[in-house]
Amino acid sequence: MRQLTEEQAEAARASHELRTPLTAVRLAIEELAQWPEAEGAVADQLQVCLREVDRLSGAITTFLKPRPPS
Amino acid sequence: MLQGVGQRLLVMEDDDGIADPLLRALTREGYDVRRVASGAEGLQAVRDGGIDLVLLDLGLPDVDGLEVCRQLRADNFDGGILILTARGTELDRVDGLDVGADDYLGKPFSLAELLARTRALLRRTGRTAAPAQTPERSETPDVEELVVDRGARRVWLGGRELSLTEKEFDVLVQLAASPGSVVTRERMMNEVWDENWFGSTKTLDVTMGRLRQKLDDIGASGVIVTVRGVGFRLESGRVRVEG
Repeated sequence: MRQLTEEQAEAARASHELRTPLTAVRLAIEELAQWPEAEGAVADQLQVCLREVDRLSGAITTFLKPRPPS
Repeated sequence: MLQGVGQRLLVMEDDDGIADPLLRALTREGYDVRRVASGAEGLQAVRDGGIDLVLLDLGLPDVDGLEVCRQLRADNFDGGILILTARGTELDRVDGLDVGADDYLGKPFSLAELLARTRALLRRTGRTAAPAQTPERSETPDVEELVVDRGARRVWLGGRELSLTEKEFDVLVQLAASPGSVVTRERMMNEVWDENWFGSTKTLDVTMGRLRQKLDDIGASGVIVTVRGVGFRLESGRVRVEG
């Protein structure tokens, strides 16, 4: 039981440590996409970056999902 | 378009990487934005007055964000509070709303969604600096045209008001923004729900079903068209957006 609690605390810490920089990257890309300089191919590539960031978010969510005790 | 002219936002966020792009985007929207990196500074800034909406990170270095939220309400702050958190569990969400927050966004969130929720919260808390013009009730049209008043969040058809839930209204607004054009399912999920959805869009289908039923009931059948495998569009010429 105690083991599980420690694991949960570790998962919460990992979640915070991973999601914070991920949020920063996501916001930076999305904000950059709004610059007037970000047009055409640049805008397209920024969308590609966003999709990859979302893929990474999905992976993190999956890996950090609380698992039932085995 | 500068929508937020004159409205004052306080961003309580200790991480520069998040705060910097957030401030640039909010400033570009026309909001008057101030940022603090600690709970103590934030509480003082709100006590100084004039803040319409607080964007509150739960992971502040000095005071737990939920405690900051509770304290803001104890100080009689009556503006909006939007919580931003990297914890992202259901428990946090409930806790946040329990201590007086109005809305909640899990990190990583999308800028578009944050801006949409910010606008919605400012509307809900009556903090719209330049109130959107509401249509004169006497001028409610008697033609069978759907009238969507975004400012007042009300919908009419032929003089009768349609009662919609928050999500149903938001879905309708997304479609009404570009009649005749397809709004993809992905975009709808991002704009109306959460950027962090993965996989299932069942909630969209359920909401869309209810919205259609209500439109059918009031005599506006077929206004929303499903574009198979892509998304939805609103028949052009059958809707007018105000506010």
